Amino acid sequence: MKIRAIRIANCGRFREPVAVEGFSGGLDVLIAPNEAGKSTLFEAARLALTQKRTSNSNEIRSLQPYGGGAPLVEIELDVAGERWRLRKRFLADRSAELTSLSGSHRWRGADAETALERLLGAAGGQGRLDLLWLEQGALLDDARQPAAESLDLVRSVIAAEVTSAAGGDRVRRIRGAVARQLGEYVSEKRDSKRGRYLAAETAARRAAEDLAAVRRKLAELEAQLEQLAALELRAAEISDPAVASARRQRLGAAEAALRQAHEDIAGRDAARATAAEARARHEKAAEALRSFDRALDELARLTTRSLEMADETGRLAAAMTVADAERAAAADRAKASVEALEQAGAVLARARASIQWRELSDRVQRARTAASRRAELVRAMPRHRIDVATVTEARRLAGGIAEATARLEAQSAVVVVTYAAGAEGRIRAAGEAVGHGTRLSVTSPLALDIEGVGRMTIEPGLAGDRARLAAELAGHQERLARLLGAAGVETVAALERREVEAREVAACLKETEAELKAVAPRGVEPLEAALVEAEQALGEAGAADAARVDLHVLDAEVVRLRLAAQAAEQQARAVEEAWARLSRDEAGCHARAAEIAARLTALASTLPSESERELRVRELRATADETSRLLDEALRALSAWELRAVDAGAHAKLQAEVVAAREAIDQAAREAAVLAAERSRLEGGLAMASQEDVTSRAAELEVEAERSASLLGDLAGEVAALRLLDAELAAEEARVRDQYLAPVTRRLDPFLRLVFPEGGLCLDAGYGPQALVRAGLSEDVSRLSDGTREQIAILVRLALGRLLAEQGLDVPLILDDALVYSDDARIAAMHRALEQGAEAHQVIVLTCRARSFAGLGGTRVSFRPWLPASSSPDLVPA
Amino acid sequence: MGIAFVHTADWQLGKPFARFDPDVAARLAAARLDAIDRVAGVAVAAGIGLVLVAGDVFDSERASDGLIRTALGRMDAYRMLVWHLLPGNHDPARPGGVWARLPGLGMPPNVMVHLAPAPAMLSVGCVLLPAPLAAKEMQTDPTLWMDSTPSPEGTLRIGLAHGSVQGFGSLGEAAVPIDAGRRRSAGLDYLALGDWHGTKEIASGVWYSGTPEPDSFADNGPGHALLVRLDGPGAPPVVEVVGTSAYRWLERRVVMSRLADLTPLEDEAQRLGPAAARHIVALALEGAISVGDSAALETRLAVLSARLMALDLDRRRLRMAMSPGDLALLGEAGPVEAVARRLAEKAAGAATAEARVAERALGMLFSYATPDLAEGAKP
Repeated sequence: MKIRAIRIANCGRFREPVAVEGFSGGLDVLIAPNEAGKSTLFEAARLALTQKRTSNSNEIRSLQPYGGGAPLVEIELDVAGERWRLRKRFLADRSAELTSLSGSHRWRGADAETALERLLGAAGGQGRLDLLWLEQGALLDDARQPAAESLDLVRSVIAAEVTSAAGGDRVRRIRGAVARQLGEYVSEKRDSKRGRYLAAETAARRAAEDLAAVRRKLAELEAQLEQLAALELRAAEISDPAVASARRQRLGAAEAALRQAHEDIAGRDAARATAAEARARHEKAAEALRSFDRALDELARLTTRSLEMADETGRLAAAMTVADAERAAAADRAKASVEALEQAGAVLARARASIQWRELSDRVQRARTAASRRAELVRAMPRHRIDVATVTEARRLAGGIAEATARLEAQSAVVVVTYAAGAEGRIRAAGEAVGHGTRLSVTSPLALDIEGVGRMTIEPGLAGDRARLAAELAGHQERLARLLGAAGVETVAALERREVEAREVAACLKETEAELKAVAPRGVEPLEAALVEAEQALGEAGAADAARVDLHVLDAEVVRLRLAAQAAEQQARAVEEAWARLSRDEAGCHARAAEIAARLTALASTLPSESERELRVRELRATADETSRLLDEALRALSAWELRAVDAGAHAKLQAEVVAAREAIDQAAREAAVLAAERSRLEGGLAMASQEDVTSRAAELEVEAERSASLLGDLAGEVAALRLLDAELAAEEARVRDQYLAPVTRRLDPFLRLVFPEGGLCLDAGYGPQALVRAGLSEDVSRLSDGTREQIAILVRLALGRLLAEQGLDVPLILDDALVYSDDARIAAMHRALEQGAEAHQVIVLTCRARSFAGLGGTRVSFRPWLPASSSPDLVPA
Repeated sequence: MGIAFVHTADWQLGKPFARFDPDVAARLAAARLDAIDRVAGVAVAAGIGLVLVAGDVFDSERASDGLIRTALGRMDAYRMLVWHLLPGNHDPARPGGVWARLPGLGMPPNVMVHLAPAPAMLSVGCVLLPAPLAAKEMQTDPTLWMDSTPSPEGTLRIGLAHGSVQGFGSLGEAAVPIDAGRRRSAGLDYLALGDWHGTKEIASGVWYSGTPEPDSFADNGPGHALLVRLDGPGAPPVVEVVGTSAYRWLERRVVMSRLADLTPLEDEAQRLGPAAARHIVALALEGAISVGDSAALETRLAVLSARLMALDLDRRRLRMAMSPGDLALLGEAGPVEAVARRLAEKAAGAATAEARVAERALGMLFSYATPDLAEGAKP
């Protein structure tokens, strides 16, 4: 099928009739701006080919312009070697007409649509158009897989070509049944059991659990029966009279043995007490004997010691006599030394007093001179003290007077006396002649007496602040006059001289007072009194002797005598200490002799008389021997008892045996009671269990468990078989699919190489592109860029278009605004692909991008006004 | 002075037959109780008033009270008979066991239970030496005591015991040894044994009576009671084997190579007529069956099963194979046939688990590919 012309009116934005004519039937390109109506034109053409004139579908209604009107579409197309014109009007004026332009056929109304279906249907009809007539944007939406109707068409076309791949439908059908059956047993997603399979598994598990429970119950019952038998046996053993008698005999024997042991232990304890008592008596007698012997020994020892002490006392008394003599001699020597030292000290003291007198006499002289000088200076001090501040104030007032005078003169008239020759001295002021050139400032009325002329009085006038200056001057002069008067001088210079004089006298006075204080700190009179006192102490002669003494010689003698006195004193002290020691020894010796004498007396008082002492010793020895014999007897008796009596361990064992024998009897009684109770319990439990037939139940459950396990195994086998069958069918389906895909891929490869030289494309069962293989890497198509996906989709359509065309079922491939996302290189490659595709069937490209498609060959078509033939009488309303 | 009695054993009342459908199991269980009547009938018919039951009266010592009452009631119904019951390895005489409960459940006066190895007078000049079991297993021969138990001169001595006779192969299920020479060593005139479910004379005067009602497919001659007559001390016993069974248990094995191989068995069932409904058949199918015939085989087996009381099928050794004719059933060559061939290859050879799965998958493929095949294939 090839489209030759499309004409429309009352369609979308085209209220006015327009036409695109001159399609070549090969590669036709319609370039027009956006919203020029390209899509509307081809949508109207598609609807005219696929929808009945009576259709009121949304698609048809969407064709109608806003202002209303019946959409009119006219298409000229070549089908089966003949050119046809289809003219269809929808909605209000619906009509249809199919005309062979050769004039051989013409149908109208329903006949026209039937004829059109026949004409197109023989070549796949709607599916064919859907496959290759791609609306704007459909390529990306439809990139993966063509629609179902289109697939059937492609498959039918391929089936005609690939006879060996027949049977694929049957495989798919069986596989669907297998999948449904499998789906009843396992969930597809999680591969978990479901339905009967799950129920069988649950039943098998429950049966196994129930069986285990019943088996446990059976085992319990069996165990209870065994236990009951064991209990009965044990009860019989316990209640056996011979055994019971043996238990009683055991207790009797144990108690008798324990009683005998107690008696033996009591005998042993009594023997121990007797032996202890005998030992005590013997030890007491032996101790008495030993004590008497010790007293006698002590008496002898003290007597000897007393004699020794008497000798020692005599020796010490002789030594004491010698020591007393040495002590007195040493004391005399020491006294003589001290007296010699005291004499030398007195001489030395007098010598020192003489020297002191001379020094005092000299100081008194100097003090008197200084006191005299000070009196003179005091007297010489000015009557009025002039200090520096007074002088400074006087200087400041004098300056103020000078300044006020100068300023007053400056504001006063000045009289300059200039004499004429020969007139000098004739002008007088205040009676004094005024010299030539004298300048007289008139600060107060000035009276100039000019000899021979008279008096000329000049008034100072009232200009400026003369009055204030005159007052200030007068103030200064008054205060200066008071200051000078107080100081008793007349001028400031006199005042300054007076102040210098006063300062010099004061300095001299200070120096004199310092000297006086150094010589006589407390004044002259105490110093004179001390001199008088020294003179009196020294006396006339003493003073004269003292003047002759050599103080250094005297000092040396005193030192020598002091050393001699110290040596004598030290020697006397050593002698005194030796005497004291000897004295203490003598006293100690006396004390010890007294103590020994006292102890002798005391000891002798405790002992019998010397004649009786031997007798007493014999008595004590005899007593000790007797107690020793008694002790030996007691110990022999104790040994015998010790042999008879059992030790603590054996006694404990006897006691334990009694306890054990009693416990055995009690235990037997308790056990008999427990056995009776346990037997009752077990019998009760078994009686309860007899109400139900556990054995039968166990048998039933065994079979049930076996059955359910068998069923589960059977279902597992069925599932395994279904999976195996599904896998085999899937493998076969894949083989068939590959065979079906081969015709498409064979036609796709040339186009693919134009755009992706190294690429290969994997298609899925629905001929949708699945993966692009480049450089050995497989990329899922869904992950490719929009541009690449769109290019691949077009290439696949070109392959399908060629497949159809080669089967004589060619339809135009219509691309509406395609290759929007392609770069320059790709779009050029795609142009070549489209050009090659158009060699087999018509390719119509609609685009708004004139520049991008400039390189695309083919025929350019365009919109042009159309003047539809007036309502044809042949067009019959529906 | 002689004596006559019926020797029976191994009633195993209350035995469950859970492997069968519940109604079949119930009928088999009822048949064991009915066996009491049939044994009693044998005695009554022979004019004998003594029945010796050589152990395993009950299948379990936990038999329900109801079952015990029913059994006692059945025996009580025949007051002209005296029933001597012996505990066996299934119902040993243990405290709390089935025999301990009997007195509390109303023991009839004509029922004697021997719980201890002590002589009991059956009649004047005839003593019974019972060897009851007190445990499921015993290391010692329970009949040993008979050797040292004398009886007056001229007295008939009848031993009653339950266990496996030594030297008798491994017959008997009880782990209880019994000396085969006990009759001679103990001077017994007859030793009545239980435990072996088939009827068997071990030695002269030493008999297993077998169970009166078969309970398994074991081909050892079950389903009898023994009518024993002792004419006097030292005289050889006269033993008559009397049938008492209600159902027959049969084992059959069919090696399949085609559907027709099943026909002889079907004919056998046909010949049995209504009696087929009292037959329980264990059928082992072996060989191989064509995939195309498998559906038809199932149909014919279902028909056979319906004729019998029960059909216990074992097809573990039956294989499924694909023939050229089967391939033709799949229609023209194509992918389905290719799958069938591959599955057939996997199913061929040793019967491994994988081969079994492939076999099954092959059957499924045929059922999906030829859904009307089973409908058309009738026996």
